[in-house]
Amino acid sequence: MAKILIIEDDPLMSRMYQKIFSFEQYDVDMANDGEEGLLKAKNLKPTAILLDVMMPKLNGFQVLERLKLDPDLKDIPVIMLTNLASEQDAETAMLKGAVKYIVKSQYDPKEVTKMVKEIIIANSRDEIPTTDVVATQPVPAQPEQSI
Amino acid sequence: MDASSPAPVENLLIDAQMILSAMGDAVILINKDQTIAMMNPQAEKLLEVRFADIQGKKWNEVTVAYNLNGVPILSGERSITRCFTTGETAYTTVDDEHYYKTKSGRLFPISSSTAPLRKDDQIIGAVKVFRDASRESKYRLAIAQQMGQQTEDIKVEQLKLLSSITNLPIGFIIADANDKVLISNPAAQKIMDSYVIPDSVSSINSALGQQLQHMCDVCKKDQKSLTVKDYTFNNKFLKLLAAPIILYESNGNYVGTAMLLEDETEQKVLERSKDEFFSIASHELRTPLTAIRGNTSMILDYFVNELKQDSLKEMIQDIHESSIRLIAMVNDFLDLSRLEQQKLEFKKEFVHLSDLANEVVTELAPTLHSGVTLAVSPAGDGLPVVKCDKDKIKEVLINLVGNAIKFTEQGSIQISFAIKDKFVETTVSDSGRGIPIANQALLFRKFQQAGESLLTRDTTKGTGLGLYISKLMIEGMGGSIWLARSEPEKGTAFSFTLPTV
Repeated sequence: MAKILIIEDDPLMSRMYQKIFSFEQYDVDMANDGEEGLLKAKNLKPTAILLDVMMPKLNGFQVLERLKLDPDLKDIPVIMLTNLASEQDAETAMLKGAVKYIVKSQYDPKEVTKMVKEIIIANSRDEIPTTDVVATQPVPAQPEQSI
Repeated sequence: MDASSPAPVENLLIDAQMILSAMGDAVILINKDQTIAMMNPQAEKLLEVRFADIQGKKWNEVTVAYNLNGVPILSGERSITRCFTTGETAYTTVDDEHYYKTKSGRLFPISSSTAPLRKDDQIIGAVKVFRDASRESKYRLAIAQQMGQQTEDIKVEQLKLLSSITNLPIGFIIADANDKVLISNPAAQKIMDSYVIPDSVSSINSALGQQLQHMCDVCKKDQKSLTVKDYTFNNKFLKLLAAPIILYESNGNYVGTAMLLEDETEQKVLERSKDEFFSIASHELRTPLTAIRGNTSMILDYFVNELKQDSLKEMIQDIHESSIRLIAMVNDFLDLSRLEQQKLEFKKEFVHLSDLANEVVTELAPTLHSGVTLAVSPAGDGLPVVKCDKDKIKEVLINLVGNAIKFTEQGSIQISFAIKDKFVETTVSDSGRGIPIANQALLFRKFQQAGESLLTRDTTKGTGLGLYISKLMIEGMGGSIWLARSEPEKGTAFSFTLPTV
């Protein structure tokens, strides 16, 4: 089962993304700031990381830099998930090695899961995505094929 | 007369008389007792006397000499006395500024020489030759005045320069080739947090001093000026500039370094707070709106079965729709402030307009009123690519096509292209409601909607910023946008151009 680490300090956002990824049958872990995020990334080795930009302690760009410097973590695709919508920030993120820069307000949560799913599939050439439907959360009204 | 035989003495004397008479200078022969023995016509003329009237009178009594201040010169200091006392020729030059006063009261400057006449080693009299030095004096005066004026001008310039340097809000230091500080202004001292003028650049006792010393060294070595931006020193943001002073007159010799120190802290803080305001505003407004949008969308996606009543479902849908509209407004406001501050960057990329138009059509097709068609006219192979910012063009297209969709309840919406010189003209035309003529003029203004008044504003149509933003964007990319035509109940067409190179 694909494991997603969401590094996000705002509980409104983290709860929302935790729900949608759970609904979509992902194994979800949360970190409330950059430091915790780095620690959890090391311990959990997630399939993909969703990373907020504006955060206390370490901001998203700093976390991204450190992830890319760590040989164990540098291959994990990092998706920047932010509400900072400047093109410059998007460019910075891509230059620092993020695979995607998503402005949260522009998409419904489900669209975000779709984008993440595509990235995971593109990134996992060795693994064939497996179906693993375990309904621990409320049963989705329109179940999507999950990975 | 035989040329070989000597001329008789009397002839010589007659000749001397002639010479004296003809001389342009005044000549006076004075006896040892200072009485006048002879004077030539030029002397008579200058002194306005007749020799016959003053013969035998004392020279000092006939002529009174004055100095520059109009004070009579004592007889002991007059050149005739000096000549007799010293036995040598006494000279009075224009610089001495002696004046003679005539009977009529005319005062004129003179230059003279008074030479003793000797016989058997005894001084028996003197010959005085003098002239009216008015012209020389005037000339010298003019030169002196000019020099004075020039000196004054230089002084004024110097003063201006000095006070400019002193009052310059930018720190200014000049050091010589040995890095000794020649000039430093108060602003430089303030920036260095010092009230002491340092002797040399190296004695500026701080990191800033080391930095300046380094810059001086570079100037000396490379003979090139250099700038250091965003240099931080004692919580200040400084811009440092050092330029070598090279005298091209002396074989391009390096003689020193001029340094400018600019405190940009205030500017930086302001700039940053402005930037931060927009980032924070965008972040802080969008986050809760995103939560509303996301959660309502999840309710509709995953809990639709729990929404037993249609009105409840509709309410959730309305909340969702509202949040999307609010997000769009926040985006509009932010775009606008960035555009107006010229903070928005315009990329230069090759854009295939017809491909982009098709993308927009695909995205917006679901929002069409039923029965309305939306299509892109075939562009043909000849349509050149434009060199513009793809995302911005897309925003404009979405805005124009979005408007067309809103106001078109039947018929069709068409996107077409035409080549206009070095531009591609894109037209979005519809068969919709049309814009009343009264409202056409203000279309591209801020907060203008094609509605009649504030109270009848159609708030479902957004902020009224769309066309204004489109205009700023198209103009930012070097094109223009206009209302091509609009007739009530027949339809509307907007066109914009974008450059191909």
